[in-house]
Amino acid sequence: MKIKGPIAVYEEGINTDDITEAALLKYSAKDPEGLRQLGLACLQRKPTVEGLPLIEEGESQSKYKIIIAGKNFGCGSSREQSPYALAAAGIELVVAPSFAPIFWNNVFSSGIPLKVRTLSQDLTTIPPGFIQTGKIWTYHSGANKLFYSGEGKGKMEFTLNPLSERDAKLEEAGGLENYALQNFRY
Amino acid sequence: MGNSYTYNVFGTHTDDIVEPGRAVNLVVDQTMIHDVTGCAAISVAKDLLRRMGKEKIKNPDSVVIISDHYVVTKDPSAIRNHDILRKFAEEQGIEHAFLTAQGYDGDYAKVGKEYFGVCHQLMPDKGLFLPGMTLFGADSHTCTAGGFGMLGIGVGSTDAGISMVTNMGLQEVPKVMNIRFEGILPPHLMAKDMILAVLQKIGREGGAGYIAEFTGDTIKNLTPMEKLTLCNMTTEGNFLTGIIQPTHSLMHYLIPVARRPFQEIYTDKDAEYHKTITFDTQSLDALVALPHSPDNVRPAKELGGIPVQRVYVGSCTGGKYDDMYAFASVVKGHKLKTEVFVIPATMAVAEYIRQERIDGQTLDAIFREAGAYNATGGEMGPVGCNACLGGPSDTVGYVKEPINVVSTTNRNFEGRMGSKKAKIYLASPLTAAATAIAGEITDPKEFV
Repeated sequence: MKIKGPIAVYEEGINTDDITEAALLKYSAKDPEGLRQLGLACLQRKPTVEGLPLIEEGESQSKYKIIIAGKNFGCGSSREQSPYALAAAGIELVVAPSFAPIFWNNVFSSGIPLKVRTLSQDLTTIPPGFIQTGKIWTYHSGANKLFYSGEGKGKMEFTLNPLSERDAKLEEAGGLENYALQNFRY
Repeated sequence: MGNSYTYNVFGTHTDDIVEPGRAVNLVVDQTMIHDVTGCAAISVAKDLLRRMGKEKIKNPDSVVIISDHYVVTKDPSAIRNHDILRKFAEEQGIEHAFLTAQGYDGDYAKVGKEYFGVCHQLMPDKGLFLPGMTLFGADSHTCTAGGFGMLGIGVGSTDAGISMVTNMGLQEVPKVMNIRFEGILPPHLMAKDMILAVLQKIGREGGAGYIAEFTGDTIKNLTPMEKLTLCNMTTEGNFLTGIIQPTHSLMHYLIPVARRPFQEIYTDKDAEYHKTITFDTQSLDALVALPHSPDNVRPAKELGGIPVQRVYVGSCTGGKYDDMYAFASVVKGHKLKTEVFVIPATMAVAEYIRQERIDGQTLDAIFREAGAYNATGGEMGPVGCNACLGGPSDTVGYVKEPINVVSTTNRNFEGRMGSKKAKIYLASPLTAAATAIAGEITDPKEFV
């Protein structure tokens, strides 16, 4: 499958308080109205590296599809409201050099349509202007590759890191609930 | 080569091979949910039950359900969460339910007899931290359980919902890091300083892919509560969890006290670790984590001159018996310069404050005399997580102003306790006490 759309670029250390601040935790992501509120407020306290908001004022979803961020994305708490908020806001893929473990595991357990991948390449070595909020990037899941092929400097391509056994099993099953039905006894 | 304590616990909980990177089907002996993560977990559990054609959880005895995070607030969504938890506990016959009273509307005076407090202090208080067993907690500080030798993994609501129904989880086996502390812990230092030293050394991501297994004679001599504090903040270094082999005396103590079965597991003599780091405990300083990260650590003695307006003593990290004793032992006889919040982690800790004495004076009287109750209407603060994580804006201890706060809690991200302009410094209760007296960040060595 393919994810193609504008990227939003964030700094390192985006934590779960940034993504879904504490006051929002009264909402359950499994409740439709709760999920809507979480999506609307996603990353509202933290702009992109260029100072732009994830969701524009008056809009209910983000115009961006892919987040490219610095290391330790999702650090902090176990709140599963965080991955759900990103998905509800319209984000389909987050790519970073590293993620916090509980956040990462929650994405795969949840089975929601949000993908996370790590990237070994140091993005600061890439010429400026490519990793810029608004640029169109494409992700091909089969090849696990990320491409920029816009006008100007030609194609740039990154191979993302393969998934661990747990992640692959859960992505294939479509989340832990499906995996449990197939593998765990009552 | 032999197994670490960690791998021996894994080994008794899975038929799959225990080696790093492997995904194993893990038996989960106990699941904990609370009011902020529990509603989603309940939705997942109900969905799975429905798809399995069942109505009830098979082992309700293995579930612990707690209201602790957003309790002292009138926010209607927060209050509704308590109703959802209560209904589920009743429907499913969950005995280990520590919730607010039916009809609770946020008036703490009417919170009810079953409400007990912060999940990671409630569990050891109620005999629900079980050596050698596995715990999935829908809370990142579930690693606290490692202080009692329980493999406690912080998970999201989906994993917790699944383990409530099936007592199973899909767990990636981590590597094990041996963190050794050798030497006597000086009297002005606490376990909080030890874990801050770890975070300072390895950084926020240094534990990624590892479980921290603590060894060494300093560890053996820590009190049970201090062991909980040490393991509590391993999550801040991205460790999967922290764990310590329990002493014989703890396990014997737990035989009549534990509410559920536990097992004696030991580290093999020739245990293999994937990495080892060692600390000379006597050379450590009283440490402080500066805003806005728990690994931004410097010695308190280098931070003199930083004025502090508020000191917060509470949470699963720093609101326990030893923490309250330590804070009282320093502030006794002084008049405090900063605003103070004394927030007991559980009802048992609150009772302890009323009963324990230093030189004939109860901790309660010591706090009152020092002015530590001025910000909470002349009384001890309410039990619960309260402002450790901010919460709704009417939460006790919520930081509204751009002030400097020294806190015995576990995180200091921007806006963690309320205002994004506030600066939160994490420290031990001893350092917090010295700071409350001086009105600026102070090394407790000056008072101890």
